[in-house]
Order: sequence, then structure tokens, then C-alpha cells
Amino acid sequence: MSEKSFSQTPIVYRAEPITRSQVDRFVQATGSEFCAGAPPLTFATILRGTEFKWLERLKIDMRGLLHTDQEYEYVAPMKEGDVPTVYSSLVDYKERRGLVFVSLESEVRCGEQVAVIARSAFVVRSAAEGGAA
Amino acid sequence: MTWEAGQPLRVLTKPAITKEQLQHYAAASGDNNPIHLDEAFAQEGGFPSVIVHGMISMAFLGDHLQMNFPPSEFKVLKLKARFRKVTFPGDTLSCEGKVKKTDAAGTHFWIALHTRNQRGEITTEGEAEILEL
Repeated sequence: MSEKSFSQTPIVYRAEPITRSQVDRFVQATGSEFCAGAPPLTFATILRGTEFKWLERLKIDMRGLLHTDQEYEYVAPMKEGDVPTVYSSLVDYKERRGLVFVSLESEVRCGEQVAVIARSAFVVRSAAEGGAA
Repeated sequence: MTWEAGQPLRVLTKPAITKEQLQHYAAASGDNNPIHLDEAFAQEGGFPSVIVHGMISMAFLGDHLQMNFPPSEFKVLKLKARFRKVTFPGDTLSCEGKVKKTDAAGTHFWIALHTRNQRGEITTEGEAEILEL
């Protein structure tokens, strides 16, 4: 999988309890109109801090970082008062023709219950090339 | 309402995305990558200006899904997005989609979604899997 030597240890982050104002801010920022007061479907993105820690661990140049794919698998609803813990793992790391491909998977648990599984993919190209997504 | 394979979803057009929205989104989501916030940084990365967080487009797709499939009647099992093209402040995204297939009982649906900008370009492609409650 990995062509460089990185620690494969998952990055774990225990978040503060989810608050109404966090949900409201996210709803406003995304202009979400149809989530009926619940956290919007992409709300788990507020827990992406572990992904940024992974990118830091991989020494990724953020100027060349492109988020190419995102997936959420919803197991149980997240709600106000839940205290999420995120377990984030490196699934793949490849270097090909000057590009770096990174895949991460994060499991969000509220208590013992898995709430959401998030899968993210990134391409890192040399800065100043511009281009895709 | 009964959903059948091939049936188009109602279109959702969002207001033009502003730089202020990117700042609000960064604050709400914790995604403070300067490529979305700092003009000079974005230009060093080869872009003419800051670029819109791909996750805002995905949030639009989530909202579009819940407009067509209200959370009181449907449970979203999965939502995926592939970010195909960069979106810039000032761009207007419309969310479009259709039912790709249903199960025999007509209660489990696979949906194809995308965002299209004001130039007619598809910027984000998505898929969702949902269950009627």
C-alpha cells in the first residue's frame, strides 16, 4: 500500500458534545433547507480534524491538495448531545507520475455505537499546476 | 409519491456562492484550508482565485436529496460525491438527479445526483442509497 514509511497508527479524536449552535451554524453555512432540524447529511465533516492530522503526518503540501471523493455511510443518526469519537486510518497512499493519491477512512462513534463511516480521497499535485477538482 | 427507476428528481438551484459563505463554511466545518480563504495562497496553487470547498457542493447534493426524499419518510444509507471540476465564488450550482434503480418492493432506491454550474458544466457527481421508512 504505502510506498513511504509512515506510522499506520489510527488517529483518534474525541470531540466535544454536539451542540445546537454547531448544527445551526452548519445549516446556515451550507444553506441547508430540508434537513428538518437534524444535522445535515454532511455534518460529520466537522469531525475531519483527524484527516488534516493525517495529511500533516504524510507531509502533504496543502497548496496542491485536491479533495476528489467523499463518501458517508450512515449507520445511526448523530444528534445534539452526542459525544463523537473519530478513528481515522490511512487506507491507501500511492505516488504516480508526480501525483500523490491518499485515501482515508474515519469511523465516527457516539458511545459504543458507530454513527457514520466517512471515506475521503485526495490527489496532491505540484503547486502552481491548477486544474481539476 | 411513488418513485420509479428513471424518474428525475426535482431540481434545486442554490444562490450564487460568495466568499463570505466560504468563510462561514470554514468556521462551521473547521476546514480552514487557505486555498478556500486566501487569494494569494490559492494563486500560488495555480488557481485564479480561492476555490469553493468541494464539501459545500456535497452539502447541496445532500439537501437536494432530502428535498426530494424528506427525512420523515426516508432514511439515507449512503451518500457519495466525486468532485469533478473546481467551483469558484460567484458560481451558481443547480442540483439534478434521477432514480437509477429500485428494489422489487419499491422501498429501496439508488439515486444518481450531480451539480451543474451556470455554464452547464457538471462539477460534482454523486450517488445515494436510501430506504423508505
